[in-house]
Amino acid sequence: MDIIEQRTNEEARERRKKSAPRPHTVLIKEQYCKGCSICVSVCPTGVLVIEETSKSVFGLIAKIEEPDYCIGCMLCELHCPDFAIIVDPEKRGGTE
Amino acid sequence: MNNVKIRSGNELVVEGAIAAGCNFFAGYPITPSSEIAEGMSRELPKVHGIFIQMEDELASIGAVIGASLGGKKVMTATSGPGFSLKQENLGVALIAEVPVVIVNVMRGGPSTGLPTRGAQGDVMQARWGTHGDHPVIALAPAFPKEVFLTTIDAFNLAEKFMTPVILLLDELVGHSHEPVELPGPNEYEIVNRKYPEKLETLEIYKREMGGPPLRPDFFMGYPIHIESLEHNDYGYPTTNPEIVEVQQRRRLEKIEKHKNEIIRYKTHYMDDAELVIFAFGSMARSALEAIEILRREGGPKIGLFQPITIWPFPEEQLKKEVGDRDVLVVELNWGQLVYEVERVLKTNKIHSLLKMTGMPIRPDEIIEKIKEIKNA
Amino acid sequence: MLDYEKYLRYRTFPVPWCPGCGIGTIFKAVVTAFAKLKWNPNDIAVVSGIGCSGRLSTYFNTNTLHTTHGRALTFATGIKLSNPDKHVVVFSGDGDALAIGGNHFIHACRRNLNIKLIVINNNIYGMTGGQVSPTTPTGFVTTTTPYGNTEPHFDTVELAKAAGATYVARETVNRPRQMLKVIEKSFNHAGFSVVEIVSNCHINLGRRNKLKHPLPMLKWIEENTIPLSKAKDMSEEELEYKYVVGEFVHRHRPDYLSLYEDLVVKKAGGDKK
Repeated sequence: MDIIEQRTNEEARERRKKSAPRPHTVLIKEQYCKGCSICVSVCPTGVLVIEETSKSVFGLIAKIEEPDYCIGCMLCELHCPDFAIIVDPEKRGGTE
Repeated sequence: MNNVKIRSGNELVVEGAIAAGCNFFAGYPITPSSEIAEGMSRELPKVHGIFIQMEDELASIGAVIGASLGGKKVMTATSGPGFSLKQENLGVALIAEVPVVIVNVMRGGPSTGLPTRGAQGDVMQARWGTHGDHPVIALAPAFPKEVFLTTIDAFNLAEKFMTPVILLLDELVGHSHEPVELPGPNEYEIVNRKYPEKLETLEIYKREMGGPPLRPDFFMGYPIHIESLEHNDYGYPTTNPEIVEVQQRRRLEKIEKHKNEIIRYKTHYMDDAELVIFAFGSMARSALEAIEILRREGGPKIGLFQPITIWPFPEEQLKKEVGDRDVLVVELNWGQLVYEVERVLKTNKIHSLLKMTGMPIRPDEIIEKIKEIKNA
Repeated sequence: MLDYEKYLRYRTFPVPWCPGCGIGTIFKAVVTAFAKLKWNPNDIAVVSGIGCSGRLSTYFNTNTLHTTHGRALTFATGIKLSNPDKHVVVFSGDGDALAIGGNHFIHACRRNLNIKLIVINNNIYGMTGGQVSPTTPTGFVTTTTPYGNTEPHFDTVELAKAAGATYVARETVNRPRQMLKVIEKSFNHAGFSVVEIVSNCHINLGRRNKLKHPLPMLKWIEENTIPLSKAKDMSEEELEYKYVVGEFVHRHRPDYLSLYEDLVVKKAGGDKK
C-alpha cells in the first residue's frame, strides 16, 4: 500500500520495545509547521503525530504525542524543511 | 606641446576610467569596443585592479554588478549586439540601485549589422532597452578631451546616484586617433559613493522621495539583501501595491529631481545663429566643421546645440538655448532623437538630416541640407 | 540561540516552499555547515538565481543577492573577485544552472574560483508551474510535455567533471547526514565545488506522475538512489535513471585569483600598490 499521508507512524510503534531511558525534549514551533508529516515518518520510535488544526494554513500540524520515547536521534530536526522542530533546545542554547 | 599624445576614443575611455579610480572590469570582445577591454587588461593590473574576460556579455555585466556590490568601481564595454544581451541584467542594477558604467560603442545595426561602421542607432535602446519603467543616465561625448572627462563624469554620476550610467560612443569617436592633451588631476574631480555612518535599521532603501539610497555594500558588517524582484525598504520581495508605488516612483524621482545636475551640454556659435543644428557624438564634429566652413565663406550663420547628456533629455536647456529658431537635427540613424526634439520644441520648425549607411554624414552633406532649407 | 539560528533571517520567516519540499531541508544542512565551520555571517555572501531554489537567498541572515535566471554564478564571480577572502555560496535550480545558466556553469567550473555551487535538482521548473527541465526523467508528464518527456536528461556530475570542477558530489534530501558531510566538505574545499542535491517537487512534478505527496516522492527518490561504491560494479543500463550518490571528484588545481596575482599583477608591477 502506498503511503500518502502519515498521521501516525504505526510501523515504528509496533517495532519499539520500551520507552527511552533518558528521554530527550522536543519543541515544535507551531507557527512554522506545515504538517508535511516527514518528521512523523522518519521518527524511529513513533513520538510524533499529525493532527488537524484550524490554525495552520494547510489544516495539519505535527504534535508530540509520546515524548517519553524520544531517543534524541535528531532525524526529525535534520529533515524538517521549515525549522519547525528542535530537539533538546535548552541544552543547545535555547531558541529565542 | 610636450604633453600632447595621440589617442583614440576607446583609449581615452580607458585612461579616463583609470583616472576615475575604476578597479574592476569584466568584458567580452566585440567590434568596435574590444580595444577598451584590451586597454583595461593592460592597465588594471598595474594599479592592482582586476580584469577578467568573461564567457559572454551577460556574464560581463553580472560580474561587474557583483563586484560593485563588493565595493569596487566597475565598468564594462560593448557594442550594439552585446548591449542588447545585457538588458536583463542592466535591470538588476536599476532596480537594486547599483553603480555601474556601461560603455556602448555604437555600430550599424540592427543585429550583426555593420561591425566596423559607426552609427547612432542605440539612443532609444539606451533609454528603453530594458523592460519596465526606469530612468536612465546616458552620456555621449564627441571631442577627445571630452571623452576622457565624460568617462570620469560617468563614474561620478553612477556613484552619486547609485545607478547604472551608459556611455555612448560611436565607432567614429571610438576609433579616430587624434592628438589630445590629457587633463591633469586638478582639472576634474572624483566622486565616490557614500556609506551610512552607522545603520540603525536594515531598511537600506529608506529615504525621502528624490534622493539616492544611502546603503552599505556587502561585507561591511550588515546582512543586507539585494533583490531583483520588486522589494520593500529592507530589500525583501513584496507585491504590496502601496509599497511598490513608493519604490517605483522614488527611483524615477531620483533622476527626475536632479535632472539639472545631471544634464551637460555645449553650445557653439549660438549668439548670432539663424538656424540651430542639434547633433551629438561624431555628428557634432561634422556639424561644427560645416558651421565653420559656412561662416568662413560668408554663408548663413548657423549654431550648434551639442547635448552631452542624452538621457535625461535636456528639455529645458534646449528650449532656452534655441528660442524660436528653426532646428536641424543631424543623426547617424533613421530618426530617433529627432522625435524627442519635436516633442520638446512643439512650435519650432524641425528639419532633419538622417542617414545610416555605414558612412558618416559629412560636413558638405550638412551644408547642402542647410542650403536646401534656406532656398525652400 | 541554537548554533545555526544566527544564519536565519527570521524577519522573513516562515519559508515559502510547499509542505515537505526538500529545499528547506537543504537550507537547514547549509546553515548547520556554516555553524560547524564557525563562519561569521558578515563574511558570507549567498547568491541565488530564479525559481523555488532561487528564493533561498532571502532567508539567510548574511549578505544576500537574488539575481536573474541562470546568472547567479556571474554575479558571484564579481563578488568573489572583489573580496577574495570572503565565502561565496551560490544556489541554483536544475533549470537555472543547466538550461539558461549552462554556459556560466561550464565556465565557472573551468575558472576554478573558490565559489561553492549547490545545484538543487528537483527535476522540474517548479516555480512556473511544472515545465520540463533538462533533468526531468524520460517519460514523465509535465505541463510542456503532456504526452510524456521524450528528451534525455543531463548528468550534472558528468558536466561538472568535464568542465573541470575540482570538487563534485551528489546527494539527496533523504540522506541529511551524508548531505551535511558533503556540503561541509565542499565549503572547506579550496576551488570551485559543485554539489548536486536531488530534491522532491511533489506538487508540480510528482502530482502529474502519481507522486503527489512528499512521502511517496521521497520514497521514489530513495528507491532510485545508489551509493557510488555499489554503482562502480553496475552496468550502464542498470544505472540509467538512477541517482548515484557520493563524492566524484576531489582534487586541487590553482584558482583564477591566485594565478592572476602571481602571474599577471606581478608582471605588471601592480603588486606594490
